[in-house]
Amino acid sequence: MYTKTDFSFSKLGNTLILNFPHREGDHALQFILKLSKTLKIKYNDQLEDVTHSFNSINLFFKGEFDPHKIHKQIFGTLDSLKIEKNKKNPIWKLPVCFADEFTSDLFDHFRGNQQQVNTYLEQFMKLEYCLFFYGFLPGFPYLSGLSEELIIPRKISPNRLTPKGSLAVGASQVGIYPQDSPGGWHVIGNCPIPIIDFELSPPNFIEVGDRIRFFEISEKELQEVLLAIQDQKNHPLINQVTYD
Amino acid sequence: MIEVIDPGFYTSVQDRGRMGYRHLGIPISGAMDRKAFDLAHSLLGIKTDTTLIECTLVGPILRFHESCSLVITGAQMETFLNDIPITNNEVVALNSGDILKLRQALNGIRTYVKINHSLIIPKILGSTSFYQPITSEAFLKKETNLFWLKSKTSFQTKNSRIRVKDDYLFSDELEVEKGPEYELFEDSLKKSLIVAKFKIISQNRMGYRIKTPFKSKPKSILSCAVQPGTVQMTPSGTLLIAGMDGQVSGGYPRVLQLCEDALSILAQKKAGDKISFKLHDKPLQKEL
Repeated sequence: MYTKTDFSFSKLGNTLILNFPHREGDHALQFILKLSKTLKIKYNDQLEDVTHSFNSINLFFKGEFDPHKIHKQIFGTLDSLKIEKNKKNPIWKLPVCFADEFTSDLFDHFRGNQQQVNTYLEQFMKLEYCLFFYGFLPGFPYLSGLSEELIIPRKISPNRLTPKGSLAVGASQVGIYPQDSPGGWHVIGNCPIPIIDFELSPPNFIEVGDRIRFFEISEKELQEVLLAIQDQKNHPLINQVTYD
Repeated sequence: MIEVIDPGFYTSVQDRGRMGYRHLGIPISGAMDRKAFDLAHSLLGIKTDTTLIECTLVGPILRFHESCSLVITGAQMETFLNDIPITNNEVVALNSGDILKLRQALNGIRTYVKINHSLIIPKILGSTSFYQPITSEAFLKKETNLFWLKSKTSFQTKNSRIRVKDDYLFSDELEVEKGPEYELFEDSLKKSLIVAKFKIISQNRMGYRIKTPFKSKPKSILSCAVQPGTVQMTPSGTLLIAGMDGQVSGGYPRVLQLCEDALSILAQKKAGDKISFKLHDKPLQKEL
């Protein structure tokens, strides 16, 4: 749990940023969600948006604001914050394909050592991840839960094209590219399930706090899933969900 | 109705932006040059409807099938109404059949066309601003027809006398505040960042890439909030300045943040142009 000494403030234009250390585990995320919601209600009329990341809550004010006043008020809010956890978050099982074309970043990272690539992927698949927030691009999920030894630093300069569906690692973070985009993370596989669909309301099916496990599929299965999605048909590998 | 005969280089529909969806990773979009955007509305005396057309580098050729009034703001393009040159910042009356040609931009790159009727553009997540994949199109295509509401609500255009200040189009100095990660950088870099001029490598609505000679050690920070005007620095020395369609979070250190007017100045710059930064420290910022 966080205490007042964990927090510091910074400013980015008309945005007030509440900084704190990232902590793994459900408790920290529940705290962030509760505090974000409380602040959103408190400053509703003055805000354009409220977002959070692993280690910050961002209050996007519509105009100028008085940081001292708000700083004080936020600390006041912390005293009375009550975290109740009543929702059970589902575990989503997402298919991922590790065909050579999707693992070339990893292959380069390990300087062509296929054994190390395989070990990395084996360890990656054993872990359970948590959707911490959406950011970067529409529907780009930031997942927590990567273990220390699987951290891969960002590329020195971003590449021009990371394809849609890329499952990628950027430092301690895991993400899935919802569309083709320049990107600075190392791609380790491809997930054919669209994480976001703006024709649906809400457009996302995985919520902040939900758990994610990956299971491996072959390249043939990946093509089948992509085809099924394109034809708007169901496929046994789509949307497997369980509750713990 | 407006018929798009030739869409120009990159012409889109924009409004004030799509606020309230950053938590899904959706950028706010909206007009890149807020000064020109506001000016267009003031000149027409419009407060409510905020949809207009944003033209880039080379503007469109438009045929108007009904009469209306309009105003053009932002960069001055070579502009012709039925082949007669016209200038920006004046309310112009158009008749049915008139052809408006916006061609090469002369000073700046983004020009705004605002008519005195509400354009009928579907609002998606509360905004008419084009942004793929939220909207089906990123820019206007040839032979698109834009319709407007035909009701008495067409705006009363009063010939308002507003002093037009366009000198920002010729400025290359961007006023900035220190970003949250400013202090992570070496003093020598921070100093040079403020005195030198830098060249723009490329630009679009997502953002500007600017080349600097500075190399810095990769600083592994977790991805954090980015907004229009946030300046991130990559280890190889490229400055990434987020535009209105820019990503909502990023992982490079946020070294500077452009002040509001600086974003309008930048929005009028093209690849090859040079810019410099001027540090503006608000008293409030210092005490934080």
